[in-house]
Amino acid sequence: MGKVKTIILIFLFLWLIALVTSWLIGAPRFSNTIAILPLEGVIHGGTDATSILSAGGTSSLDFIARLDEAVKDPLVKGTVIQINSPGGTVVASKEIADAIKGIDKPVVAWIREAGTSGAYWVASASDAIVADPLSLTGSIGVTSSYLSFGDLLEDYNVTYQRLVTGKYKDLATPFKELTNEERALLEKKLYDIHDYFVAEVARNRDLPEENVRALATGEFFLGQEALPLGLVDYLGGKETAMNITKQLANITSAEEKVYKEKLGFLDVFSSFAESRQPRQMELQIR
Amino acid sequence: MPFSAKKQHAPLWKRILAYVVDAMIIAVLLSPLPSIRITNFILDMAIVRSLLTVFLVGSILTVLYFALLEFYVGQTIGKLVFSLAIASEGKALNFSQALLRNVPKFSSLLLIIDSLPIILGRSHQRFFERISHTEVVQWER
Repeated sequence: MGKVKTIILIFLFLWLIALVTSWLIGAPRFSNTIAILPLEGVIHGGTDATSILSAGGTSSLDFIARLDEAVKDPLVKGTVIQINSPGGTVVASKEIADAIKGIDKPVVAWIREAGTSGAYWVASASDAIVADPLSLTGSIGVTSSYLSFGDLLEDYNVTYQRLVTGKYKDLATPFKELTNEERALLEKKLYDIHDYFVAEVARNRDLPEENVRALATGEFFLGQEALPLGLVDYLGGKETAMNITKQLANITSAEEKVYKEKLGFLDVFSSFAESRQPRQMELQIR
Repeated sequence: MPFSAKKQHAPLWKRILAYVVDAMIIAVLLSPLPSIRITNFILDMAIVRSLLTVFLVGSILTVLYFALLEFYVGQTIGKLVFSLAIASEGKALNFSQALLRNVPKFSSLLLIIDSLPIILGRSHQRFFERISHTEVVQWER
């Protein structure tokens, strides 16, 4: 074998070892990092794997796990929550907001297309909110609206056989009309959640509760409208969010690391099966 | 390549230049490995592990570059450019000799210490060259 050929072969052999090793050990980081956590679609209380096809949303449990992983990394100096969500279920939104409040590193919410209702609750828990001038924010309110099929079933001569052990056990079933008493009870619960939501936003944003209550009509605001109302702190995009996070973290430069949901091959199939299951009524804030 | 009767010791400047050429080639060879830019040192096990892994793999590949080329070709690319070659005392160079003489290339500091006899002008061989019974000679085309 020629000398040049041998040299090339040895070089390629060693280069391949370097390549494989690099692939095996990944890309270690050695410098300050800003974690970016996407919060996309409807916020729900399941797991990402069981709802990706049905809703394409964000699971509070999985999001908190990713947030925890990011915060525990000693090189992560701050976190940007990249929000594009219309809101979601009450408890799931509250869980994420509570998790954010428990973090001692800076957290900045960056609202892209939408950060309304439950997603705004999450954003309000962060240290600063950056929103695009044309993004949708606010929409502080609670809904539990649903389709009622009672009359439709009657038209088809299908009857709802009511078998309950308590008068409210089948509250809000879509197969019968709500009674006045049931409606009043349900609305009371909604207002309780609404009050809690308003109080949380007021506390998180350091705004007078009456001001937030006046804004909590369910109306959404554009980013540029939300700024003078005190619902957001800055108008801008990713660069603004990153700069503010660095400023809050007292660092001048940082790498980015995106913490996305990890979906396995089998998870796609399990989520497909899960999406065929009927879903229970949920109290939603969106 | 066994010692020839007319062997000539390689001058230090040629050896240094050959090493510089090899270092450049090694930089290309190690380019797939993650680059290390430390802007903030935090004593964390994950970081220490990453640093050690990159250092170990880089050092092993460097030693292998010299050992494999010297064993199979009798010279590295840098030595080829400057007409230098490895000579073994009395017999053909075997792989253990090639490996042993290049062990100090595991780290630059080790290589400098190993090269002190040449730098101080006391010998034409590094410590590990003496142990491995090898030496760098001028290669006659």
